[in-house]
Amino acid sequence: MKKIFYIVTAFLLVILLNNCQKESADIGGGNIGGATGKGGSMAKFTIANDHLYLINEKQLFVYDINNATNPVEVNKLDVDFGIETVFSLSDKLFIGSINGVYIYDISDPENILYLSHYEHITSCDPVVANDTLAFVTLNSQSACRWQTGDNRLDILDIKNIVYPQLLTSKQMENPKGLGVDGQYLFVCNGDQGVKIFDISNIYQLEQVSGIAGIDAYDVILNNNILILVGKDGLFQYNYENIDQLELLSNILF
Amino acid sequence: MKKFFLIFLVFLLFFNGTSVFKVEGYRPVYVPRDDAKIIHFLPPRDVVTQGKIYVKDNYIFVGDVNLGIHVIDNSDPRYPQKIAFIQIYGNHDIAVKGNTLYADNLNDLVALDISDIHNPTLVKRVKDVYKMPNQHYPENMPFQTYFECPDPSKGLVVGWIPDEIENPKCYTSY
Repeated sequence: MKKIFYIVTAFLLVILLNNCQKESADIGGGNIGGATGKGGSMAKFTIANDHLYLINEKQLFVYDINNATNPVEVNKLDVDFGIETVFSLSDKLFIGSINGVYIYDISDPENILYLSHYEHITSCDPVVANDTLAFVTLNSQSACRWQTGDNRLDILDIKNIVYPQLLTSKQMENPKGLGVDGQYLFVCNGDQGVKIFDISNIYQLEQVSGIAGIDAYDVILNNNILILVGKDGLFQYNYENIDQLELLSNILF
Repeated sequence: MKKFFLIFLVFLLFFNGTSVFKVEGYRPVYVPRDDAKIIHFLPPRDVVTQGKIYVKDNYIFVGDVNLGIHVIDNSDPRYPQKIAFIQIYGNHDIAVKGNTLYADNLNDLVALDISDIHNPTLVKRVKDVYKMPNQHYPENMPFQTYFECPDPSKGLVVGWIPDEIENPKCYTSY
C-alpha cells in the first residue's frame, strides 16, 4: 500500500513539475540569446551557449563559435559507435545512438561531463526532452546495422539526470522525428503521418490530434507553428487549437 | 515446325524472365570530383531527396540529402517561397548562429555568411572533421544488401540511395 502511495505521489509530482515548467521548456535546443535557429530531432548539429556541437558516427566535436565566422575546435570525445542524433537543452546534451541515449553536462564546453546512459535494444533513435522527461523513438526499418522488430516510443524520467528511468513505452508503426511543446508531443510516424499526444498523463498517453496522409519525417515546433517535413513536401500547421490543426501552407517536392 | 516455334517461344519467355535479376538495393550517388568542395549559390530548384530542416527567423532551410540546402523565405507561413539553393555536396546537416550558417561538405565543416541570403559567401572551411564517404560500399547496411558496384570514373561517391537495381554483382558481407 505504501509503495502505491509513493508511486502516485511521484507521478503527481511529475505532472506538477511538467506543468510548472511548461513556459521555460525549450523545444528546439540551444536557443539562448535568440541568435540561433532551431533544428529538428534528426540533427547531428546543435548550437548551445555559443558552442556548436557536431557528431560523426563515433565522436562528439565541440566548436567555440563566439566568433561565429571562425569556429575553433575546443573539445572532442568518443561517445559510442553508431551515434545518430544530438539534442541540447540548456546545459544538457542528449546523444541518440543505436544502443541508447547518452546524457552529458555541457555547462563547461571544454570540460564536458558524462552523466548517464539509457540503454535499449539496438535501433536508431532521435531523442528530445523537456526538464523532466526525455522522449525517444525506436524504428526497426531505419538503416541501422542491426535490424530489430520493434517500433516504439520510450518515455524516460530524467529528473535524476544521472539515473534515467524508463517510465513507459508505446508501440508505434514507423516512428521517426519528434518534438515536444508543453503538454503535447508530436511524433512523426512515417507513412502513418503525425500523431500528437497529450503527455499530461504519460501512463495513459492519449492521442489528441494528428495528421494523416503525409509520409512524415521530422518536425520543428516554432511559435505554435508545426513545421513538418516529409517525403512529399514541407507543410506548416498552426496548432494553437490542437483539436483543429490549421494547414497554413505546403511546398510539394 | 510449329512445335519447334512453340518451344522457342517458351524458351524466350523463360530466358527473358530470368536473365534480368531486379532487386531492391542501393545505387551510388556521384558528384564531379573537381566540384566536390566548391559551394555554388544557385536559383531555387526542385527537391531531389528531402533531408533535415532548420528554422532561423524568417527562413526555413531544407536539406537535400548529399546535394545541398534549399532556402525558403517564410516571412508569411501562408506563402513560403523557395528563393535559393546552396549546392553543398555531401551535405546532411545545418545550423545557424546570427548570420552564419554551418554545414557539412563531405569531410569538411563550412561556415557561410548569409547576411545577404541572395549572395552568401564562404567564410571558413574546417578540414577533415568527418571521414570521406566510403567509395567502395554502403556502410551500416544489413548483411547481403545488394548495391551497384561503384565506378570511380563516374566521379566521387557522396552517398547511396535506395533503388531497384539490375543484376547486382556487389553485396555487403562481413
